[in-house]
Amino acid sequence: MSLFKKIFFTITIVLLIFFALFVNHIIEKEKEKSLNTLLLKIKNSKQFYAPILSQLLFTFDKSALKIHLSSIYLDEEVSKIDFVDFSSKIDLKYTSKKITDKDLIKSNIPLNIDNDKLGMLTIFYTQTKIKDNIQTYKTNIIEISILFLILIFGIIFYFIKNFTKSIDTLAMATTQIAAGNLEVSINIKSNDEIGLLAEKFESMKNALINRINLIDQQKNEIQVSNEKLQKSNAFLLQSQTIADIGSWEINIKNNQLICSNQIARIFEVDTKELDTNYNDFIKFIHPQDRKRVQTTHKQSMENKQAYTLEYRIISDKNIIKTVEENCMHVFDKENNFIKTIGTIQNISEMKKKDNLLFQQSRMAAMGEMLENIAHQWRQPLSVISAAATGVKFRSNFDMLKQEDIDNSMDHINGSVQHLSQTIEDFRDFFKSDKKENQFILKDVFAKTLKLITSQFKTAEISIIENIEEISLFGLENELIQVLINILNNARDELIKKENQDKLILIDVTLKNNYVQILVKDNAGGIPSDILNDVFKSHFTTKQESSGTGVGLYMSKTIIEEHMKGNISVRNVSFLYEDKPYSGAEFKILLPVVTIEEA
Amino acid sequence: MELLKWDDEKMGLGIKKIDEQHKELLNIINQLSYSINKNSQKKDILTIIDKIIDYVEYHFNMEEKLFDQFQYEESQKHKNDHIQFSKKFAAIKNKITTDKAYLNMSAIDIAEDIFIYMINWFINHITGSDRKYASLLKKHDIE
Repeated sequence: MSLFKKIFFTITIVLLIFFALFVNHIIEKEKEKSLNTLLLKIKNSKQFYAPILSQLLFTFDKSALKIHLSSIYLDEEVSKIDFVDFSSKIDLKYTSKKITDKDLIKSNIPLNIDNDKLGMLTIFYTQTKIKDNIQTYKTNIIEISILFLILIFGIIFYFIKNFTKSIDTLAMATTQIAAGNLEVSINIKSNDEIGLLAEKFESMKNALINRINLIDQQKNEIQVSNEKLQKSNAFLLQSQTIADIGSWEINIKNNQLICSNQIARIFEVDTKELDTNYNDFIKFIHPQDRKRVQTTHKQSMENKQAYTLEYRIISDKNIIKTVEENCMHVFDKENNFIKTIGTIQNISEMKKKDNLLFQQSRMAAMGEMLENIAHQWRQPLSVISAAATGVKFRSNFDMLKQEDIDNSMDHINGSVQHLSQTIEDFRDFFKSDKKENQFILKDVFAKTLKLITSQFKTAEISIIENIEEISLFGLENELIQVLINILNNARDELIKKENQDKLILIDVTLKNNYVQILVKDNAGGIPSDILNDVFKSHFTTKQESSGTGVGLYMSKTIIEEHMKGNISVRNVSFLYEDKPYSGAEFKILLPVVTIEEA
Repeated sequence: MELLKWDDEKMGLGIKKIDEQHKELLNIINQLSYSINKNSQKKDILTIIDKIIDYVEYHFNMEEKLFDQFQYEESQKHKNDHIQFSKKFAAIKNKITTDKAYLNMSAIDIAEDIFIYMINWFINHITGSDRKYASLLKKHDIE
């Protein structure tokens, strides 16, 4: 049942009861009033008629009595008159009027004169008239009441309707808002509580809209960061796949090892199989490397120090892979140890490439050396050839003497020895045993230049040396390889320059605990856009046939990894014999290590 | 190594003008030999090669003039030898100056080739073909 109906129904019943009681009360009052009037009339009549009628009875004036009694009887309310003459001389009786009323009011009027009881007049009054009046009154009252009620109902209906309409509007708005439609506007403009409620409701709605907007905004922000997170996570996984690098962590609480998918891929097992503990992981390590890995890991766990380690693993499919492991320990703000994390990168391909690169560089170096050998041999071969030709010449002109033969043979022998020495020098250089030894830098340069001298002479390149007496311990031949590489690069650039002096300046000095080797040329320098790339592998400016792009990469590897030094290059301008030049300058820094230290 | 000495008795054709020129040619060949032994620079060797070409051309011109003058019967054959020699040198010169590969080639390589060729040519020239026309010229009392 709607609120409207409830209110209306209640009010209707209340009003109806009220009116019923009210009407009843009024009618009762009226009834009482009418009866009182009648009783008063009876009393008055008694007082009025008693003396008159007593007098007449005394006189026996029957006719006068008759007239009086008739006039009394005329009264509509009088239904019966009993006149009793105690002397019984006059007998008068009026009982006509067909009145069946039982509620008759009896009024005895004693007719006395001076205490003599002459007679008794009894008048019976009927209430019929009162009843009729009351009935009419009742009808009127009810009619008026009904009209009044209708009016009141109309007014009440209007007000309730208005009231419930506002409530309905509010209810409707609430329903809409509850359903999510916040664009509903509550259009109630009244000064009462409903208006206030509507106003409050409106402000509540606006607050809700603001809140929702805020939530939407936050939701968007969350979504954006969520997307970012997903992206970066995907990117991370992708990167792990691409770099063939996986990550793991060991939680201190349960000593459990958790591995990323890529580790599983490297080990060629299911992720679940790896999520156990460190000992299970150990079985994948190559037996020859196992002890080393375990020792390093154990020490690292004890000392809480990070490490980087290269070792081999045997995957579930029996494939030997080289991996590089990086491990570190994580502490909280209070410096409490929380966990150990690490990465494992499959560097097998890199290793293969590195090996290939080493071979390539060796081949390239061999090629260069062969070229050098060819050059170095050219001159002694020429001498031999010239000597032979000289002998032939003299013999043809019959001028050959023993002295000429001896002379020529000496020349030939000398040259052959030169050839032999040259090939020894190269063999020394090509010795593959990477044995470190003590050497004097001046000798290293002498050997280097001896190996390449003929090509530099041909190209008319002047090499100006300024080398301090320094003794070093290390890989002599590898250093020679680096120097040859740098010098050959300089030569290749200088050959392109025509009509200018071709210079290579070598400066070797001792600086603190470092040997500084500077090799600069006057070929104009390296273009700035490729200056940063020259040490990268497979970078070359030379044509395919003459450049492999491994020379400087290998030089960097040798200097920085094998000899723990540093190599760099820059373009410089310099003066030599008061003339300005510009070119590339390679700088090699090598730590001075003695045998004892090594 | 000892230089190749000119011997009038063994190498001379008896015609002074020609012998002088042959002597000069041997002198230039010796210069080449010297520069090879000294591992000289490329430009010096190129200078010597130029000298050889110039001088040989001059020598050939003179020889051929004499052939024509005295109607040497093997003139054509001899001239062909000259042409062959000139061609060889022109080719070398062309290579040295224009061919990039040759530019990078060691001067000694070039010089040695030329030296051996020159010596062999000198031997054949003087002991062989030149002797033939020398006797003809001698008949005409040319000295």
